[in-house]
Amino acid sequence: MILLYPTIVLLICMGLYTVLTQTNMIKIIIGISIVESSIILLLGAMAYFPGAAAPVLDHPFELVADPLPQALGLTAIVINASTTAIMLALVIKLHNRYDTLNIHEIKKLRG
Amino acid sequence: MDLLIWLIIIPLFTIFSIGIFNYINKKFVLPVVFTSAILQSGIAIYYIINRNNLLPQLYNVGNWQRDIAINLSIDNFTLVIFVLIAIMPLLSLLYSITEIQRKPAKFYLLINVLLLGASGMVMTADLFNFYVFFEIASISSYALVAFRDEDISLEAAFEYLIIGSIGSVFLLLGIVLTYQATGTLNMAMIPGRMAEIPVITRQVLMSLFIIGLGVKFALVPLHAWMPDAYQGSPISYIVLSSGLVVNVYFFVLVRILFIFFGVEFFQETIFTNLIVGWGVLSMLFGHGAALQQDNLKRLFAYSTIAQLGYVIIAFGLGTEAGIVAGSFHLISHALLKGAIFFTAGNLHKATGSYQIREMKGMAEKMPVMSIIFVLMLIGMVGIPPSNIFVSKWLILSAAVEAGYLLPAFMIVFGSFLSLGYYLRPVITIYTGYTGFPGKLPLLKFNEYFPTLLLAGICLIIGLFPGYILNIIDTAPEFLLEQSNFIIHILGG
Repeated sequence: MILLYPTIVLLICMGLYTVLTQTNMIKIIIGISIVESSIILLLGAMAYFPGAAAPVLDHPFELVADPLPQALGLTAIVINASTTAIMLALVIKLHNRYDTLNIHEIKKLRG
Repeated sequence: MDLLIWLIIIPLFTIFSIGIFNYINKKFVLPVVFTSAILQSGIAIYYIINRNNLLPQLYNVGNWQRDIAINLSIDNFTLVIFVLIAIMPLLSLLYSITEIQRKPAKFYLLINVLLLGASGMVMTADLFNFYVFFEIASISSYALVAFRDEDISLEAAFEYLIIGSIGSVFLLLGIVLTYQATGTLNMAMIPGRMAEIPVITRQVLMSLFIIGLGVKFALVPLHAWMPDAYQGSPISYIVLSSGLVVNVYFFVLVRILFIFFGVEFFQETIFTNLIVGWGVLSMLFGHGAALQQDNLKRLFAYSTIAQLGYVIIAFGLGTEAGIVAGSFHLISHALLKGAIFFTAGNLHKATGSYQIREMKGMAEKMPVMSIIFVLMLIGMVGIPPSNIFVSKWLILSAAVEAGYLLPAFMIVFGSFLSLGYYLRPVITIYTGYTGFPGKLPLLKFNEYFPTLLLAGICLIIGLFPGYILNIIDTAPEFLLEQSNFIIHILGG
């Protein structure tokens, strides 16, 4: 548990570093997915505390995990999945047209 | 009457009916889309007209107790965006009838998703729903940028998607940490608890919100997507984005900063100077970059960035006059920029290009549209009787009143700078007549009507600014006094 928050920080930095340094579009998408997943890990870590039960309140309980970060986490997972789907769809289209995955070779937009 | 929830139900219902009607009979799609757009405008106008009896209003979805409920709220500051919701979507959809020939049903579907996200973001009073609406609007924007399916639009969409995803990660981090620090996501309960947490935490949260939302309204170091996205996307989307959605993101950031942290927090620290300076920088950068552009769409995208700089200065002052001036500039810039983009689209009919150098002698082919274009560009610089003149005057006097003389000087300097690039297309289209071969392109009703209507509205606002000032003059009450907002949401 002590290492949980440093791990999250490390993951966020790793993901951002990947996005900033890679030139391959798929690797950039992987980087973004790492950042997004680490935020979801943070949400899970926030909700949990030792000895807490799952927040399903159909039986007597003493300690439950916080349900709100979990709900937010589920929403974020769905949103991340759809963003990743759009990104991959765009990569397929761009690859069909330019025949490359390198972002430096895709530049018609220079005003 | 509780009509607030209908601003969310109507677009949702339209989204599903477009799918069904497109399957049954394509003829029904347009009537459905326009009925829904007229209804949404009607609701916004209803709230604007009856503002004295109805506002502030709270709609409690599901009637839970107010601290955990899903609250939709409207107060006098929200009316700033409601003015735009009343005007922009309808005209943008009208223009899109002839512009979008390929897969129109999909376009209308995405536009309605965008409107749903925008109205939701404006009205929601808790951060959870705000995040959901934010992502709804963002994802539909990504799809709309890629809509023309050309090389440049796909490239721009990918760029926007990468920058936008990183931005929303920071926003989500800000929301998560706000929850960690305060234990609530209800916008009215956060301010009270926010005052108790350490200053450094508050500053971190504030930077996360500024980055997350700043990406979306093209705050200067995060602006790179905007010119690219505008270059590749349809005019109807650009008008809606520059005229409504960008302003919505800005509006939400202003509300979050003022309500969560309070105006005293800014005035005690150096943040007021920082934000005003940031506004000046984005304004100068936008004007400077626009000087080098040859593509009309890119030029006006940079001009939008610069104009938002003025709004940042005005809100950054943190005074009552500044907020009124900023809201006025937000509205008048959105209307005039919409008209300018429509005109650029109309001129495109004659040349088939947005490059300024290929527009030589355009005035010969489209005399009326050219004159309107010239008048609007000069109006954009801020020459009376345009509405931009009134709003720049208000910002200027607010800045001088608050003691910011250098930013006030920079506003005037920036306007002169902008004259440089607004006059370039004017000179090009009035020189180098080449003789026009073939038939003149005839504009259809739905192409010139939105242009003329928006230009007319701008002129009327410029001549009689009281109409808009009456609507927004009570807006600062709900920003500067956190207690007003808290009592409005949570009850007395």
